[in-house]
Amino acid sequence: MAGGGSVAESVKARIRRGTLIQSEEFRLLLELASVGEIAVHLGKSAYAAILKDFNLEEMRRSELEFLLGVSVLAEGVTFRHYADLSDRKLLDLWLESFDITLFKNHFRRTMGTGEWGGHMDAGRILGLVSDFRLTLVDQEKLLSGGTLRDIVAAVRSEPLRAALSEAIPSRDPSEMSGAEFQKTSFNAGMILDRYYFDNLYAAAAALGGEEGRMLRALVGTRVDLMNLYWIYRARRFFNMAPEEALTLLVKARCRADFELLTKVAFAEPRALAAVLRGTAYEEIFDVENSSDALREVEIESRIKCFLFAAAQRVFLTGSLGFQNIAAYLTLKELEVRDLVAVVESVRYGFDRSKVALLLARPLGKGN
Amino acid sequence: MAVVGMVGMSFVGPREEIERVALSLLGMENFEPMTPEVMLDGRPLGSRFQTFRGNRYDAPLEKLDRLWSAAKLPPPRRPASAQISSVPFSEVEARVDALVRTMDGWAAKVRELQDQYEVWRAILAFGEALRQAGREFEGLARSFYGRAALGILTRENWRRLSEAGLAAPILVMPLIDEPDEKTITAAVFYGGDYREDMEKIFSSVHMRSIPLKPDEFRLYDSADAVRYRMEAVEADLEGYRNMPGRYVVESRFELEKLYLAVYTMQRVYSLCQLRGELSGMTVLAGWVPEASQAGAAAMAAEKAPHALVLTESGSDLERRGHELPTLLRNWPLVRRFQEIVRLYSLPSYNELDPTFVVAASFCLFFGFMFGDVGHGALLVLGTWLFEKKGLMGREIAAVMKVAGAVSVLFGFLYGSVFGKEELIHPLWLSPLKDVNTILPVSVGVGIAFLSLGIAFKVYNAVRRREWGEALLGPEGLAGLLFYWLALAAALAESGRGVLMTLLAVLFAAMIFGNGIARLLFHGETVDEGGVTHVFSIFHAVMNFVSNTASFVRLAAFALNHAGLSGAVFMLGEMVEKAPGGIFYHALILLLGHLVIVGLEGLIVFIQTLRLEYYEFFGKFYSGGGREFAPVLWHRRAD
Repeated sequence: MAGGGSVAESVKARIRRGTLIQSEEFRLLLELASVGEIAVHLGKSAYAAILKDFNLEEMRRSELEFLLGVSVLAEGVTFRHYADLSDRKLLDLWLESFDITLFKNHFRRTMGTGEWGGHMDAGRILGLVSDFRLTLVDQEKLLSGGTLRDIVAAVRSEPLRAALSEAIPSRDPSEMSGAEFQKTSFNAGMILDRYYFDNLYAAAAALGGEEGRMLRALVGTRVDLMNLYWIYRARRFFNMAPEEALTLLVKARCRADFELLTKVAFAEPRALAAVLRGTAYEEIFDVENSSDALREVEIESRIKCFLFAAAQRVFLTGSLGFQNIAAYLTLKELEVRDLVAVVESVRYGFDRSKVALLLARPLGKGN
Repeated sequence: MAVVGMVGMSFVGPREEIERVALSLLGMENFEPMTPEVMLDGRPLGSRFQTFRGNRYDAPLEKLDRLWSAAKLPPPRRPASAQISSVPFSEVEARVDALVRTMDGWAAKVRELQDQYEVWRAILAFGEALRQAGREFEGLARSFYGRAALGILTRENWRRLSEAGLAAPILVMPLIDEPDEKTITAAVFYGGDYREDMEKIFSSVHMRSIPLKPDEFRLYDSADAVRYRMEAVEADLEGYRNMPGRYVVESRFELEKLYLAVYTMQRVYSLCQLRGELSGMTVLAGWVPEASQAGAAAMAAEKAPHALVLTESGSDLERRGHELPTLLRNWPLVRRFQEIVRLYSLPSYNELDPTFVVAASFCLFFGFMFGDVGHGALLVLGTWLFEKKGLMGREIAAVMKVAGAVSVLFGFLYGSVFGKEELIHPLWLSPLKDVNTILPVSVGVGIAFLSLGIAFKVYNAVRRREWGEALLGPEGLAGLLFYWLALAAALAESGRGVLMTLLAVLFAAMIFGNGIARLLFHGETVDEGGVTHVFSIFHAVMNFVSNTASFVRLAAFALNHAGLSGAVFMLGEMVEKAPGGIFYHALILLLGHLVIVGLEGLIVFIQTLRLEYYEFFGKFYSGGGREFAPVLWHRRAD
C-alpha cells in the first residue's frame, strides 16, 4: 500500500509532467532568431524560476545551457519535501548524477584539461539550488581539494574511492603525457558512471511490486542502452578489442544480457543492427542509410526517443511510487537535452528542420 | 541558570606580548576569537589595518602527529601550561620537513617491500596450483603456445576480468582470494599470439601485473626457496615498519621538545587565527564571559605592559548588529538537560534560557508516564551499560539516567514494581485503580505548563518592549486570561454569563489588538494583514484546546504502562502449564520487560520531548543561538 509520501510525490510528478514543453512550443523555439529570444520565451515557461534573476535578452548560449541543466537538479530537489524516507534515499541516489558531474568537472579542472560539463561550476550550482546536498562526495573536501588525490579522498564511498585511486597514476598531472591525461579522465569517468548506474539499479532491484518493476525497467533500459552504445563507441572510435570493450560495461543488466553484449562486441560496428534484430533495441543501431557524419547523432537521437517512450510508459499506468519521479526527471532531462540542441542550432545556424527530427520527441513524426 | 553575559575584548600591542596574552587566554579557556573589525568598526583606520587568517603551525603539527602515529605511540603529554617558542617558524618548518622526508623514505621502502612480498606470495600460490595440476614453472617457459600472467586486482575488477574471460580466449583463475582482503591475486592463461589484446584487457581492469622472470623459474619451483624469500622480505618489512617507533624512542627528548614548541604555537595561533595588524601592532579580539573580563584585563596588564586593552559591552555590540555567542550556565544536575534544549536549538544571546524548566518538567513528564521501580532501575542499569560500551553518548546517557531515577521515584508513588501493583503500597495512587484522579491531574499539569509557556512569551515581549504583543497578543496576557477564563467557564456551575461576557471582551481585545497597540504604543510595527490576524487568533484559541488535550497522554501512558506490564505477566502464566513451561514463562517475562524498558521507554522519551518542544517551546521559544566556542589548550579532537 502506498504511503502518503508516495501519493504526494506521484501526484506532483504527474502535475509537473503537464508543464513539459509540447511539440508546438518546440517548433516555435526553432523559429526564433537568437539565443536571447529563446531565453525570454523560456523565462515565461516552467523555467521561469531558474531564469528569473538574469538578463534574458542578452543571455549567452553557455549561460542558458548551464541554467537549463541546473533546472533538472532544482526540480529534482523539490521532490525531497514530498518523498518519504526510503524514496528520499532513492532520490538522493538519482541526483548523485549531479555529484558525479561536479566531481568530473573538478577532476578535469584539477588535471588542467578544461571542464566536463561546460560551465557546471560547483559553487554556482550550489548557490542556485541551495537545498541540494552532495551525498556521494564531501562537498568541502571536493571544492578545497587541490590535487587529484585530494579530490578522490573527498569521495565518501570506500569502494568507489579505491577504484578511482587505482585508476589514477600517482604522479602529478603536469608530468603526464596528453594520452595519459585522456586515459585517466576516461577511466575515472567510466568508474563513476559504472558506480552510479550499478548502485541505482541495485536500489531499484531491491524494490518490490509495481514500483520496483517499473523503476527497474526505466533504469535498466538506460543501462542497456549505455552498455550497447559504449561497446559501439569503443569498437568504432577507440579501436578496442571486443574483450576489452566488454570490460567497460556496467554490471547491471536488464534486457541486454552478457550473451547479447558479447555478440554485439564481437560484431562489426556496422553490423550491430543485424545482431540486435529481434531485440527491443533493434531499431536504434539501424543507421545504415545515414551519412557517416550523422550516424552517431542519429543513434543518440534514437536512444533519446527510446528513453522518452520508456519514461512516458510509466505514466500510462496509474501506479504510485518513486517510478513517477524517476520518469518525470528522465523526461525533464531529455527535454533539456532537446532545448540545448535547439539553442545550439539557433546559435550556430544548423539546419533546423534536421534538428527537429533529432529531438527526443521528433517533430516530424506526427508530433 | 541563564545565558551568560558577554563582553568584547581587544588587545593591541607588540606581537611578542600579544602571543604571551594569547597563551594565558588559552589557559583561561574562555576566549572565543572574533574578527578585530567587529571591535574597531566605525573607527577610521583606513589601509593601515590588515587582517590575517589561518594558522601556519597547523601543517607542522599535523606532520608531527603523523610521525607519532607512524611510530604507533601516543603524542607527547602536553603540560597544563607552556612557554612561547623562541625558535623562528622557518627553523621549525625546516626541521619538521626534514623529519617528514625521512619518514616518507621509510614509507616508500615499506611499500616497495610490501609489493615484493605480494609477488612472492603470488608465486608461492601459483607454484602450489601448478604442482597440484602436475606442472611446474619450467614447463611454462618451454611452452610454445601457452602464456601465463599473474596480477593483483580489486574484487570489482576481478569480476570484470572474469566476465571478459567468458568472451575472450583466456582462462582466469583466482590464486589468493581471502574474504578479509580487498584485492584478489589471479593467474591468467592465454595464447602467445593474444598477448597484445591481453595487455589491453589488463590495463582496462587495472591489474597490477606481477612480473615472472623465466631465468628464476627454477627458484619458483622450490616452495621452500620461495618461502625463504618471503620470510626475508617480511623481516625487512618488519624492520622498516618499526623504524619510526625506534627513531621516536631514540630521539625522544629532542622530538618531544620540538612537538611541544609546535603544539604551543599552534594553539596560540588558533586563538590568534583572526588577528589583525595596525601599524606594526598586533590586534587580537574576542568574546569573553563578563565574569572573566577583570581577570583577562589583569592578566594582560601583567603579561603585556605595552598593550592596550579595549572592552565593549555585549549589549553595545549587539545593538550594532553583531551576533553574540551563547554560553549557558546551570546547576550541575540541570546542566545535563542543556542537551535537550540544544537538540531543539540553542537560545539566542538575549533569549530566556529554558533549561531549568525543561529539566524539571522532563523529569515530571517522564516519571508520570513511566513510573515503575523495577523498569526505572533497569533503565538506569541499561543506560549505564550502553554508555560504558560506547553505544550511547555521554550527554544523552546523563539525561536517561535521571529519567530512570525519576521513574523509580514515581514507581514508589504508584506502588508499581515491574508493573505489579501489589508488592508495595502506593504513596500516592495506582494508575489503573485511580483513573478518575490521574486524568484530571495530567490535564492540570498541562494547564500549568502551558500557562508557564505563555508567561515566558509575555516576559520575552516585555524585554523586547513589544507591549502590544505582551498585553493583547493571543499568546500574551489577554490570551492567558482568556485561557483561564475559558477553563473556568467550562468547569463553573454558576456565573457562566459573567465569564462568557469577559471572554467576549478578551476575544475582541485580541481581535482588535493590532489597532489598540498602534493607538496606545506608538511605533510598534504590525506585520500582519487583518484577515491573517483574525485567523491567527482563531488558530491560537483552538491551540489552547488541542495543547491542553495533548497532556492527557501523561495519564494515558501511565495506564498503558500498567496494562502492558499486566499483559506480559498474563502471557507468562498462559505458557506455564505447557511442557518446559517454567522456562518459557521466565523467557517471556525477561523479553517482555526488556521490550517495555526499551520500546516503551523510547516512546515515552519521544512523547516527553514532544510535550517540551511542541506544547511548551512552541509558545515562546525562538532559539537559533550560536554556541560560545572558546579556543582550548587541548585540541577538540584530542
